[in-house]
Amino acid sequence: MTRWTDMADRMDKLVIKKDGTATDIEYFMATHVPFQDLEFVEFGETESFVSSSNLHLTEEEIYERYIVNKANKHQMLIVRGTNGTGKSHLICWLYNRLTADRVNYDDSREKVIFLRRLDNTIRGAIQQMLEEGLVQETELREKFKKFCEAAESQDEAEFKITIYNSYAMRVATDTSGQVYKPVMCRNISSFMHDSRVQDYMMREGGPIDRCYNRINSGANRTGDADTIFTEKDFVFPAEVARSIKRDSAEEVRGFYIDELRDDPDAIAKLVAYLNKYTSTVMQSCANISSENARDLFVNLRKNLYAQGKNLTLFIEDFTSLSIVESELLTALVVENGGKYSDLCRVSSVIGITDGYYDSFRDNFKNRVTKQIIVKEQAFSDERFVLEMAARYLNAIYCSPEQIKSWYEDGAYQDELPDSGFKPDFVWDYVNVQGRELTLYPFNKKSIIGLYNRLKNKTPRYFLEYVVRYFFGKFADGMEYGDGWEFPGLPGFIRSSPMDGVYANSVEKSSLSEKDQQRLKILLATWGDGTSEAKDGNVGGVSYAFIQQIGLGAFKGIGGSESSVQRGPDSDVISGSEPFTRAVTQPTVKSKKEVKFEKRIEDIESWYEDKKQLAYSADYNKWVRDFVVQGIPWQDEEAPGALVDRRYKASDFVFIEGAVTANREEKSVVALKRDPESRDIITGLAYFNYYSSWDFKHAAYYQMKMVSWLEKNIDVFKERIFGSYLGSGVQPIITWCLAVEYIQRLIMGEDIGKLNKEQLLSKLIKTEPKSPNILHRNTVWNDTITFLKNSNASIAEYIRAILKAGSNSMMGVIGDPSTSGAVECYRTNELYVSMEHLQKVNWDLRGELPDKGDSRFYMQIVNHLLNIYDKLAHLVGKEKKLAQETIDSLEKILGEKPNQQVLINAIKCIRSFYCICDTAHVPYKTELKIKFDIKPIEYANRVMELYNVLDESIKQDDMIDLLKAYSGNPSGELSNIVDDLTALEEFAQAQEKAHKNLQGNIEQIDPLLVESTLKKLGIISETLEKLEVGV
Amino acid sequence: MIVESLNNAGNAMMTFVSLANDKAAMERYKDQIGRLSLLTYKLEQLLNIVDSIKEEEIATITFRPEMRDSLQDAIDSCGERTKDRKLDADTVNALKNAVESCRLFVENAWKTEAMPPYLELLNSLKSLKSLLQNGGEVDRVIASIEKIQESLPQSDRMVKNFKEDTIRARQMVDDLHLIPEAEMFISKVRLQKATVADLYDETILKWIKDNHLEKQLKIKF
Repeated sequence: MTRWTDMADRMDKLVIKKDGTATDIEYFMATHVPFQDLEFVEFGETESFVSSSNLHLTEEEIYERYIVNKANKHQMLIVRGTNGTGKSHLICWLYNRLTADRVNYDDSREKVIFLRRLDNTIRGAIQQMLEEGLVQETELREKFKKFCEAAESQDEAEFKITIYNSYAMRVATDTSGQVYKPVMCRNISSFMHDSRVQDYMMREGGPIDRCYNRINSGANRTGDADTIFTEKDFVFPAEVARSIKRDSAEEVRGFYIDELRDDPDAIAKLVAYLNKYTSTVMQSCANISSENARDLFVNLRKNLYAQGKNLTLFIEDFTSLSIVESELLTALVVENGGKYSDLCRVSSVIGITDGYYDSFRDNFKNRVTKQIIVKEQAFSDERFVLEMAARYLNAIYCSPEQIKSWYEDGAYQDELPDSGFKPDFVWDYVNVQGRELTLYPFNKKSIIGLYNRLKNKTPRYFLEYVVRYFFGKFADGMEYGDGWEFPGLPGFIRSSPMDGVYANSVEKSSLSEKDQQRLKILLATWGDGTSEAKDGNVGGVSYAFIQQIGLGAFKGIGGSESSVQRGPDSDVISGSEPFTRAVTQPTVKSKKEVKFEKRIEDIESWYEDKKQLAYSADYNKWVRDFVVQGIPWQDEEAPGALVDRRYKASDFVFIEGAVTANREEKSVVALKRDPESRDIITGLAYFNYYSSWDFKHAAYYQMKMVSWLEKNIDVFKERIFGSYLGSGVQPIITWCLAVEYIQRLIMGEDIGKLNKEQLLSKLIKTEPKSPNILHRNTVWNDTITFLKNSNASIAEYIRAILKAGSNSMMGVIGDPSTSGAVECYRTNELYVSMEHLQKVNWDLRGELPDKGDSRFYMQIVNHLLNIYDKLAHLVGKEKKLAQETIDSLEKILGEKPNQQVLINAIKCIRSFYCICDTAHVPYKTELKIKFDIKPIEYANRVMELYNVLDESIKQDDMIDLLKAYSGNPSGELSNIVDDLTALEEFAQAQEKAHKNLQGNIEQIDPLLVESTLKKLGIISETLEKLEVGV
Repeated sequence: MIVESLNNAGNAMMTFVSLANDKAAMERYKDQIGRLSLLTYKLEQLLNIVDSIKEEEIATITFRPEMRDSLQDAIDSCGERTKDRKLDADTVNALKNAVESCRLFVENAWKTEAMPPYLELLNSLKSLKSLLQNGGEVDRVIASIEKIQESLPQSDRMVKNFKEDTIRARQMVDDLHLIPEAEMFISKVRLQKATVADLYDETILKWIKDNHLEKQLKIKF
């Protein structure tokens, strides 16, 4: 038996090399999985991509129709596709298929050249051209050799400067005027020679660095690397831009500021212009001219023609030949015959990336005969992946001699060598050309699962990161039997979580933590995600295999030695059926499903890999809902609605390692990073996904969650209610009632005479009303202000607590659609609190705690204490004011008031106002109407107020005083006194005024009257004597 | 002690109201007293003038009984109301109307009954004025009589003066000792109706020569 380490070496050295094309041809052919669906496009236009009428051919059909080229046509086939899609593989296969075709290939009539992408460098390409005998001219061959040597030996910095100067020189000497006028070309050249610009262009990762890598270093190229200069290279960082503007020569500064800066079109134009010189720059670095390069291929074609041969050219990656890009194209596109009858026929197959092809000049695109589009769908179906894996594994298991012999015998697929390697137990295999090639140590599920979890789903990545990685680990373990690492997941493959139920069973096993981790990966990736032992399998993976990789200590749930022994004939994962699934699109998962899977992965990586819990907001909500709704709070003597209030706070749940973690000490629920927490969150994730407990292992999760809940219920209660939750008087309710009652008395609500039911109803169902009066007692006003301001915070909160805390929850706590919708109060609790309060006359100062472990409750206590403090001050001052008011009333009345005195006073007042009317004396109506009341009513009201105040003077109890003063009797009586005082002052003023007026009235002259009367008498006498006649 | 204050103020206000009401009536009373006083003065004067006309034997003006009764009633009414401080404008106006009627009656009587006997005397005086020695005195007497001629004298004094002026005028005329023919001739001359033929009368001619009036004769065509 071959040693496992040898097989691993064989894999690394022969079967899966990092650069697939460098694989030995024998292995290449032995592991090649035929492309089944290659899109075939006529002519060279990229627009034709979208056509639905494009042909879909297998690689064999392409070979037969076009590579064999029985019609001996000139043709240029482009093989296109994005990086890693298998272009190289296809071209390589076509090349080998042709050269191995004894029927259609005659090397005496056809020269076949395959230019590989050696090291991804120009130097590699030139090296190949030399080796293939393409360069027949001696002088040119020497130059190429020199270039290869120079590129290898020259100092990197020196070579880069050579490249950069070459670009600058090309620009400076451009007098064509095709893109820029010569003057502008000189400015651009100056610009490029500016030290600041040059430094930036020569930076690591800059255009010159890219060009150097293209020529020499062999770095992998993707996407943008197809072009040397990019637009980004001319968007300078601020400091470089400032430096250019400040320190550069005038023409440099002028070009930069006026022609380039902030003009994307100008930059794009310059980038395209410079990239145009890439090929000639490289040629200059190789010290060859364009003519040399063109002659290279022309001469080759002439020579072949002279020899009676045609040329079939396979170019794996055209980009690597950019040094002779245009010349090569020119030489290839020229069709033989007519004027070029001295040239041989050329049939070329050129691999090229989509990005590079798009930059092709149109006249070359027009010459393209066909395009073969290699898309991901050509190799990503499960059949392809499984067959590829099986072929590679088979190649690993086969001896090199077997492979070589097969190749030498014609490499017929139906004669593909079979290693015959099979494990001692039933294992998955793939039927390839009638042979059952084992997938050991993989199985179908692991192959597909790992492939799907690759970030880049390409054959190259799959072979490198799945087959090579895992087989290497497996071989190592198998060889040495200890220190197993298989199947530890590398960082570049996303982990697939194992079902929490089964993960728990693994975690409880006697395996080391590392082995537990391996086992969980195995069961999740190779198996069905469970750990159930059944028919010789554990979690769907053969127990024998588990034993083989050193995890035999775990026998699975319900596993016993006997049941495990029965395993091999199980058909659960026999893998005996040929895997012949048709090419299908990947299964489209619903958004919900994707979301669910992400969360499961998140939970798993949180627990397994100690990563942060990304979707903690979801988990917080789920856990909070579960805790709040899972505990029968009201049966636990806890006010459900208070739980509801706490539920609405954002810091209910703390989860260790969550992205947005709340503070543990403030949270009600704290979940550590442990298996129990993992199970809780996972169970809730499942529940959330299925919206019911009707899913596999629901019972397990329920059991775990319920037991966790029961175990922690006291902790949760403690964290929500502190120590203030009792079976008798509910302190919180009592405090809140006290706050509410006192607050309303201060606000002046008339609640002193309400019975218990009325009072409770008032306190709970109605909002406290802010008084619209201003007390003469400033302390009272300040207290009201304090209460009003508190409304926005604690007072309102207390009120809400009172309302909610005594409200029986109807429906589900935490469910806004049902919770608290019906007003149904826990009156017993309220009555008990009320009775207690009445017993202590609403004064709880003697029983309030000094400190507590619940910030939530201490806030209420502190608020209540604050109110009591203010109240003491308030009633003290009010008492003084009451005495002053009484004194004032007695003073203005001139005696102690009684009903009769007051009736007389009001009658007198009314009479006074009548006199005012008679005397046309204006007065304040608003004052008068205050006395427009029946004297008896007025007297009774005043006496009522007077008596309240008079009685209060004799009292000392703070609450009794508050009750007495709540209706503001002092204020009302004081207003009455003020009115009387104002009236008295008015009366006094009128008295004075009218006395003054009396003195101003003019008297008549009595002499005048007397004389007039005397005169009248005389006249009368005269008239009596007067003679009259008719 | 509000009750006391209110009562005091009420009393003060009522007193003032009372006073204020008296003041208005007093003002009106005062006005009417003034008017009444003036009217009594005018009436007294009128009665004096009538009395004086009679005393000077110029004429005898006799009121009709209803005029006297009217005056008497108005006077009585004004007297009563003055005593009661209720004299009003209507009462005073009644007296005023009565007084005015009397005055018009007296004026008319003066013009129609008292003055005519004195008009011939006045004309004679005017015709003989040039014959009289004290022309200034003659003019004054003529002016005085002419003034009174058209309107009632405004006082009993003026009546007496008038009487004296008429006596003086008679005396002046009488002092010329005119024969009747001369008086006739003078009348014709004053009326510009004398002719040369009147001079043929010897008596007239002699009277001219005796009184040296020849040079004063003028002929007019």
